[in-house]
Amino acid sequence: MIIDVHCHIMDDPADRAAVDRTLELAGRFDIQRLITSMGKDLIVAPSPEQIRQANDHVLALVKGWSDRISGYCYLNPRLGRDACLDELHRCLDAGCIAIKLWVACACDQPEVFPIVERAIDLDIPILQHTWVKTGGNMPDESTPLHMARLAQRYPQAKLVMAHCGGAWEYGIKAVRNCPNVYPDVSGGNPTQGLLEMALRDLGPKRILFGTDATLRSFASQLAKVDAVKMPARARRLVLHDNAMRLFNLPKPA
Amino acid sequence: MIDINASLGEWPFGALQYNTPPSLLNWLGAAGIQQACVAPLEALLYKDIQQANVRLHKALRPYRNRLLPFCAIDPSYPDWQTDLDQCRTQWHTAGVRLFPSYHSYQITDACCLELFEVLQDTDLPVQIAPVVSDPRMHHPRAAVPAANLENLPDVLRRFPRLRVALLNVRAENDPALKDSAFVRSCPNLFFDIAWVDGVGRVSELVERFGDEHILLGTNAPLMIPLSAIYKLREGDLSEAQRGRITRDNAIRFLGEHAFARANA
Repeated sequence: MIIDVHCHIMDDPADRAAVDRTLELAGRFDIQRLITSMGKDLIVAPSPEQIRQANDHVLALVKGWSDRISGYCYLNPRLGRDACLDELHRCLDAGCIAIKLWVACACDQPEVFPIVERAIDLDIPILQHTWVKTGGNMPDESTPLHMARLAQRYPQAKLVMAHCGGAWEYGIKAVRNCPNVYPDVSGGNPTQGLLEMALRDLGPKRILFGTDATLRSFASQLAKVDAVKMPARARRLVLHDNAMRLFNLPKPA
Repeated sequence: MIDINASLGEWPFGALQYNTPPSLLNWLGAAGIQQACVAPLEALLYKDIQQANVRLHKALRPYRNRLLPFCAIDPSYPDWQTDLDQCRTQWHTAGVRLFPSYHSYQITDACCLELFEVLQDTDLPVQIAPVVSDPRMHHPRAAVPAANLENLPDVLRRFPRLRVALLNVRAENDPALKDSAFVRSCPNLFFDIAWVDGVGRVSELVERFGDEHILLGTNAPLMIPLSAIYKLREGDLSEAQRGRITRDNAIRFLGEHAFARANA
């Protein structure tokens, strides 16, 4: 059984056939648990209402397919401490299990700190988008160095670094000495060398499998793992055990 | 299965594996791919790219029944005609691969149109790669934006017998493939699935363009060949459709006797 810690199921939860279809395609690759975020529109700097709509979309998916789908609570730190924490508790009470932060605010900024402190109190992970782009990032888009600074400020936080930082050679080195940062392999082309370097420099206990589906395919992203020769134990850590441990997922009955 | 988008040689930006003929064949073989069209990676940055073709030709000699050479030509460089002639008559190149973004020309430039005319007249297929690796992750001192191929339909109208394959395109939104009716009407136009991504995308492309224009391509060894095979699994393809994408279309693109010619 494979756990996808980074996906975006954009199907309308009212369209059961569409969601079932996405889950069936994931199931072809034994991806049995998908942790989704951000609803059907990816909004860069969402308003309180847009945040609520995005999270309601996720909550409807979690409610309708609890045996397959878990959810992140998406937050915009720029909306302020109280708004974020109120929305966080609304979503956690309704079934979300972790926090998603995207590009509204660089993750080493003070607006993010109350969210991280609450996540530590609750023992839940934060999935933070990261990328470092040739030609420049979006204004508030976090790089792996932002992530490293946040991790050093909060060594107790459980931080998932999305996309291995995009430029993965840079991303892996940026967080190599931050043991509380767990890169996921989602997004980007299935490039030779990514997982080999992550295994070599971080070890299998810190790497998480994710796809960025439905923007990316389950196929291209799982190939990143299946094409790499590694011990069965390491493969199981990457595809399953690390996610179970980090997200405190219940063992299937 | 035939991979129409593979490469060999040195990559200046990292320690690439599987970039020699035996190691590439093993890696492709692990994904179930038996044959591939390969071009030299050195051609991206060499000034005299014929030296990259020389290296490719030498490396492929013992493997010509499984690895088909696609020489790289830069039509903006002086006397590419002699280089192409050598590739064609002495080394029996199976086709030509173009990198317009790395070599700084447009496909509608006079030099490129002249090349297309020669290729049409000599019955050699052409591959055009608007990108090779993700521009977001290029070395900051070697950033090369993707080539814009939106004028490709004009080129194809002018050279109706030219066989063209686009490599590394996001076919669902690439400007060159915007007009799906035009694509459907062009039996000589193909694109590969190396960069096609998104859940169920191959099925969507079959629905939009039909299955006769789609080619199995991996962009190996820069990218993982298993990805292309898994994408086919994620699509709902019949055996016949799968056969067309993984082999029959490639043979139409290459020409019936490509492998025999390469072994000559």
